[in-house]
Amino acid sequence: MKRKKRLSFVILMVLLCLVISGCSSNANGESAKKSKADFPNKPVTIIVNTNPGSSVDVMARKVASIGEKYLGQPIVVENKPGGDGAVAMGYVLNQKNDGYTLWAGTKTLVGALNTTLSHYKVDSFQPVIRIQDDPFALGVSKDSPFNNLDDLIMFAKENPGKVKIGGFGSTSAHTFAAYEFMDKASIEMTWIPFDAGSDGITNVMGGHIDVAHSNPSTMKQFVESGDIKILSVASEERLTDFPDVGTYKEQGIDFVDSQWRGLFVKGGTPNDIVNVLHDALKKTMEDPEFIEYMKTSNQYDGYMNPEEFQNSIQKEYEATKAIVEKNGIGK
Amino acid sequence: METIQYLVGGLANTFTFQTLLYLIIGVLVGQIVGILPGLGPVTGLALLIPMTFGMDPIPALVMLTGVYYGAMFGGALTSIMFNTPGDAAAVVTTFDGYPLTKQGKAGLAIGTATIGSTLGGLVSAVLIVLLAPLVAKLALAFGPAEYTILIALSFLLIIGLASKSKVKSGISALLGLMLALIGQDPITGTPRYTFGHFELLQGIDFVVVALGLFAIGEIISSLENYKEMKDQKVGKVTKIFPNKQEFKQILGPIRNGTLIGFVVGLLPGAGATISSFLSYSIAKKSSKSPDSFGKGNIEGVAASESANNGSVGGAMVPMLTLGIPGSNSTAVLLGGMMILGLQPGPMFFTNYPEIAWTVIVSMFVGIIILFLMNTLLLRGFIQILRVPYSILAVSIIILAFLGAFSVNRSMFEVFLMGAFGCLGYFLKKNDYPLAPLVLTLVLGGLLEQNWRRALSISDGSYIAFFQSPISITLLVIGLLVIVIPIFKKFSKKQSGGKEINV
Amino acid sequence: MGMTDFRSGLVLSVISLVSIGYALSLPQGITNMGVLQPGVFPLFISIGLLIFSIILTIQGLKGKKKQTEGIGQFNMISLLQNKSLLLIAGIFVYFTVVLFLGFLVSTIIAVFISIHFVFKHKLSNSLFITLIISFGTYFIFQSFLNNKLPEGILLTGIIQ
Repeated sequence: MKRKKRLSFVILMVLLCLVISGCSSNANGESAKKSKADFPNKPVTIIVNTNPGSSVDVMARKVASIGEKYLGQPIVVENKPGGDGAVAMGYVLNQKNDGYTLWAGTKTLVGALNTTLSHYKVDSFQPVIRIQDDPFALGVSKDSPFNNLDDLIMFAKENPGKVKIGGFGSTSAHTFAAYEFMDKASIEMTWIPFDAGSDGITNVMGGHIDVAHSNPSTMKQFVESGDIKILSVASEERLTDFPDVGTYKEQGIDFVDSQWRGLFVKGGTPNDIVNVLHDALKKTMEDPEFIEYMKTSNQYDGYMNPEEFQNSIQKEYEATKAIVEKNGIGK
Repeated sequence: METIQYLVGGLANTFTFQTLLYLIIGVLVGQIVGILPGLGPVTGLALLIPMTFGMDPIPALVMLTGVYYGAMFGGALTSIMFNTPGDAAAVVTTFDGYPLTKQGKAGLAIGTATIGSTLGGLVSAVLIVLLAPLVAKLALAFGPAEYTILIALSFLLIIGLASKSKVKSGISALLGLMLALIGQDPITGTPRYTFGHFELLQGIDFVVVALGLFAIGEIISSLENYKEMKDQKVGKVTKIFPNKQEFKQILGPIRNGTLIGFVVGLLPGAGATISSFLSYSIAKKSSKSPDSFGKGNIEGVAASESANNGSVGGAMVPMLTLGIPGSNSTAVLLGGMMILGLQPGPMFFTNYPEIAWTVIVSMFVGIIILFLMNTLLLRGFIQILRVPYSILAVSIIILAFLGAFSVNRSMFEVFLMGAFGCLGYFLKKNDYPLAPLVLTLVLGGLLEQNWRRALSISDGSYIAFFQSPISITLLVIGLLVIVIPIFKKFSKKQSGGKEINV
Repeated sequence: MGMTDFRSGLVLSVISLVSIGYALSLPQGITNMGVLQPGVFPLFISIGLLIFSIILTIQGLKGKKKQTEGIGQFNMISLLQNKSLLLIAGIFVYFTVVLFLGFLVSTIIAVFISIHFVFKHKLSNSLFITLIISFGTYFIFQSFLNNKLPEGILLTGIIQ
């Protein structure tokens, strides 16, 4: 009796498995060999190279939920963390260049192309749209003697290497930006890398280091609570949230740099497809709900069309390359 | 007064149908990922965060927090039953939990762990309410120099724990440190010990090593004596909760463990891991029968579980009040909050008092739910041990495979885990303690980074380590840890007493 | 104990010497800005390991005379009879097969072989257990946890 029951259970299990696996393979096996005219005719996937919850993941999910109605197809977000983005990038590059797989990339790409992922090229990825622009900024503790960029530069010039500046990573966009700033101001400071951007801020607050290299969006709360002063932002113009904070440019340093976030497809994707995606995503960015999200998360509009985006990446890539070679980072 | 008002409001918010339902989902998912080897709160959160999209912030956040402490709760189960720790914090639970299982006392061990976890979790939630504003700044006082000393101190304690051979314990610790070196240098980005292997650039994940050393290593050495294992069954699991006398025995370790957990949990970094190791070594030092530690003493289980659950409350404080994630799990949790449009940080309690307090209240409720759930399901869980060991072993190998694979979704980690299985088997057979290796592997990177950061900040002068009251206090404790045993040994020899086990 | 310790001590000493050599090839010292170079910490640890290994070797030599336990007799015959070695080999074969056949198929094969032929459970039981373990874990990870498992080089070719 017992045996019989067991057997029938086994058979049931097997059947169930077959049915489920059958269904899933049907869905996956449907390959796309359609003409470009009716793109997209199936769901589009955005690959995110972090765990859910990172800034870029939040952005991708917002784009997905709002963008569906403009694209006319569901947008799915998939997280493929690991290898500083290498896992996700490798995955995207292994897909067809049919525009159905997007990658949510950040400025980190530029640094990675120069260091850990030097086997990829700038044109391995085709930019679709740049969405956010999170300018870099320098923050100091409320008790710091520095009140503006000049104070900092003056002090650093007299005491080379004495100023300790900290922020995320040893080969991150922050690192390269900090070195570029030092270069342009012809000063020398000591870079203290941390595992997370917020560690730099807490170490400034705790008095362990002098300057935090971070973003206004991260520091906003601490500015409101009065713990942090922002010395300068690396944007073209002053930010509406911080009308009192001068840009680097107006304080005499020609430095504009940001942690941008945008969407890419595999290099070699046909132009019409890129344009369809770009147009739908641009409408998404203009959606009131998206604008509201940008505001609550303290992000700034960083829109660029594919061509502008491509050029700016190429420029950044060369600038970073020069910095990496000059300072021997990652070697 | 205001606090009480908020607490009552939080209680009312928690006991709405929707919130309660999501709370239960959260703790349940947490418990499940905690039980599965290699998966921790990060996986659970990653699973549920997409679900919270468009949800009300309160039930969503209550659920996500539930995953976090639910996973800590669940971690004990596999550590005790199969010697397979799911995360670094649960490693300590295996020291005494698994020997208890081998003695047929799995029920008692899990019961003790449940009590330890419950009390640790509840008390640390109370401490958040009482101390959050005061202690938040403590996290700021810990700069690179203080971290360096704290981590070095925990290494010293763990090496000192070894009862058989301090030399082997030291070798184990140094091997862990060596493994921690593999990958990109955290300060300059230089690849080290990678020998041109791209996969090694990010270093070796702890999960891979722990699954290899503990799970695979254990299976290899048990199957060697397979004939004996076959006959071993749990027998009747009548006893789950400790009796009065045993309860008294574990109360001290739980009290200390919870406090250590909360305080160390406050510090961003590997709070849960350091605290469970510290709590265990203090419990051993203050126990009446230190020799039975590592051979199946419930005090050890209680100390470790209360500490790693106590650290959850501690880690919530800097996350909520400063917006600083203290661990990978809290970082993901923080991200989850950002998706909900909440920005934790200094203004969080002021801007969203309702949400903040509901989350804290829900932690009490969630822990009580976990306690009830565990008590009810425990007997069922333990039945798994009745399954013949051969089948268990096969299942564990496959689960370990999946755990290692999940780290990077690549087979490289799986093979690496196999290699660590062999290493684990060898070390175990020759009486090398595995704990120092695990601790130094997890914290070695932090030690090096902070040491070098501290020196960078002080322009290369070692004065950096003697500047703050915290550093000096920690250094004095470290000195005492070294000096006292030597002194004891000396005085014992003087009085002609026989030393048993140093 | 003694003999194994002596040998492991020697092996570890060699490892630490190699590691010292490697560490020395990395940048050493401290820059004028107070940044410790990447090689310093590895050197430190390798020297520590060398010291401990030498102590272990000496202890092993001393302990040789009073051999309390007889583990670690390495010779070819005992190696071949060693169950644990076979198990290790089996585990690695399983991992390798996954590369070709994918997770599900190789797990079914591996579990069935080990349960039925190695541990000699009854055929019906073995089948039942195999299905439960393989499909159970497969669905928990693939569907519930959404964790794409290896499909194997051979099978992906057939499906596409």
